[in-house]
Amino acid sequence: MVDEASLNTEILDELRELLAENFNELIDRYLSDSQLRFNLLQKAITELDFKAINYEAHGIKGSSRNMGANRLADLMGRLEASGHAQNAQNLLEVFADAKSEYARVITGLVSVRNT
Amino acid sequence: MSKEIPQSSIKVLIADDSPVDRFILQTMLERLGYSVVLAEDGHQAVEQFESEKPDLVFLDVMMPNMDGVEAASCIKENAGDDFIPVIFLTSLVDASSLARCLDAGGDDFLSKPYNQIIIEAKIKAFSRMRAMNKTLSLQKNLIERNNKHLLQEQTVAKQVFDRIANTSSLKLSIIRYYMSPMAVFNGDVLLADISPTGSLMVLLGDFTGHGLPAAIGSMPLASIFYGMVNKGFGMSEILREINGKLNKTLPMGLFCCATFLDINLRKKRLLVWSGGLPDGAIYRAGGKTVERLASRNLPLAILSNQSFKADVVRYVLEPGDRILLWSDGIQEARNAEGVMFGEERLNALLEQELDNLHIFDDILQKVQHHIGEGERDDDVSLVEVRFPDEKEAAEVEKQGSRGRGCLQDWSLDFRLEASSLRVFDPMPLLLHITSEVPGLRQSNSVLFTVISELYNNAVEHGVLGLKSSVKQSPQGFAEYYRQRKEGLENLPKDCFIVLEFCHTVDAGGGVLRIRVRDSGQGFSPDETVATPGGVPIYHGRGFSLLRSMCESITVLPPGNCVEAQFRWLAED
Repeated sequence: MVDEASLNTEILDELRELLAENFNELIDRYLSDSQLRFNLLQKAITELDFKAINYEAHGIKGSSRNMGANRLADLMGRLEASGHAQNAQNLLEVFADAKSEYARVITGLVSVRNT
Repeated sequence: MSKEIPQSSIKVLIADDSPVDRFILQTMLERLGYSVVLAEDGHQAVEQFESEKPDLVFLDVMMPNMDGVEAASCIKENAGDDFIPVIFLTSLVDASSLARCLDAGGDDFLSKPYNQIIIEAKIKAFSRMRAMNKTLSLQKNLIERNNKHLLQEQTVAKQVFDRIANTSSLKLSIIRYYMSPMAVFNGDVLLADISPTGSLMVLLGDFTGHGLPAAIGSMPLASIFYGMVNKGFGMSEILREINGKLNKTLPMGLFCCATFLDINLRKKRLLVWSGGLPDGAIYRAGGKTVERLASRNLPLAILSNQSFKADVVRYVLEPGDRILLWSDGIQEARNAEGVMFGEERLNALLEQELDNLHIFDDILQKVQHHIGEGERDDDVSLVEVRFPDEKEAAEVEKQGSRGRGCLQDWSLDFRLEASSLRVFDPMPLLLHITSEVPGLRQSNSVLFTVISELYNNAVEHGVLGLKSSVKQSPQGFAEYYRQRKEGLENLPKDCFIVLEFCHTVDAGGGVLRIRVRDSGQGFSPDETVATPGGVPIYHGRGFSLLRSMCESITVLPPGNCVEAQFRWLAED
């Protein structure tokens, strides 16, 4: 089930056409890479390591943008900026929003994965 | 250059730590037909660049170990003159970060999400730029190589020229000159030498054109000048020889403007021949006046020697008089705005400072000041000769006595036996000897007529005993030459001809006595001159012609010996 607000289906269709039989592998790569980065981001926020916040949020933002997960990319952009500015305000709130948005993206991607 | 480079031959390096982004870009590029090399951080990117030599690089900005900005600097430095486009992969949006990427040598950005159409357009545009850059760089290398080669050639040519144009006389105390070290490639040439007759000969020449074509004419010019000055030839003979040589060898449109000075230190006289160079000047020490040396002739190499006239002007010199010559580089020297120094400025300078002992330095300084510091004009040639007092003149002349001199008084007996008479033409050999006398050289064509007429008379009427009267009709001519040919083929062994030359010099020039004696019975040339009315005279012309050329013609009894006396006058 794809939530149009979380995942741009036009971009997903283009990716499916581009990658053809490798489309599933792309989704698997995104899932494992973003999971890894999310854990690192969680840790960085707990420790208020701004440099790591900036770096990991930037990474998730880029690949999310390429996957059509634009709302998640936007939220990551805000965390990246906070990390860059070393600003702790709203950090936890934005991260909470990002986590629930990330869950929607995962659900959507798993559902478009060819079986 | 409109041809596209085949895509499979273009290799692209992608450096990105995100497996997702790397995978998408790699797939896109491979589907477009490019070959792809991958790196996961900045270090790997630099390593892959060095080993794989890609044509184009995509770099993520934020990567572990070494970030994209630093990797870009390394790659650009490694590439050297080779143009390797670096495109940053970024979702950075703030202007200062983007500027930092460009400062590091980035050529473009690619934003996320990736778009295949944009990527293909960018790669094609950069491939065209790269091809163009390669062509430019090849051409630049070629030009650099050619230029280096040209400079090497010029250096060698300059060495050869310096060896021919022995410049030791230019170091004389009475000569000052300014010329660029490579002036020979501007077509300017300055020659000076002291002749055995005590004349300082100076020639300033300016060949049309620049570079090697202009320099080439300097070689025969210098070699004739030094060769003939050394042997004591006069100015007009040297000029005639140079003109003839240049006229025959230089291509159309290439000629040599020149001024030739013959300064006789003992006689205190100056002879000037000037063709095409700017009018030189004589600064008079006594009267504080300036006289201009107007150009009166066409430049060298234009006229054939038949129409060439050495029109020479004579001046009397006093110690302290100074003669100035320059090439048109002085008037044409331009300043930064392109304004020429000009005739007017130069004339004003010459006229204003009549008692100026430093006119040489003043002209040079004003011209160089006019040109300014920015651009050195190397076309400026300026020479000054100061007429010395008697003491200094003697010292100067001493330096000139190293020449090998020229023939003065001499005699030569030359006997040709029958076998030589049959096959040998003695004229080239004899003229070669007489032309070693400077005063006789200019009369070579007259001497040729005189000697060959005497020799032929000796062969035909003396040795062979042919009668001129046979030649009275046109048919007779053919018969005469048949008899001549037959006679020579069957010549008796004891036939001979003796040519005796005796040359003496005197104050006004010299006399050459030529005596030709043969083994024949003798003949009287007068009997052949008798002319029946109305019949054209084909014979007997020889002696009247000889009489018009020589001081005297004498037939010695019994008529087998003729003596001609030929007088030449010194040039001044």
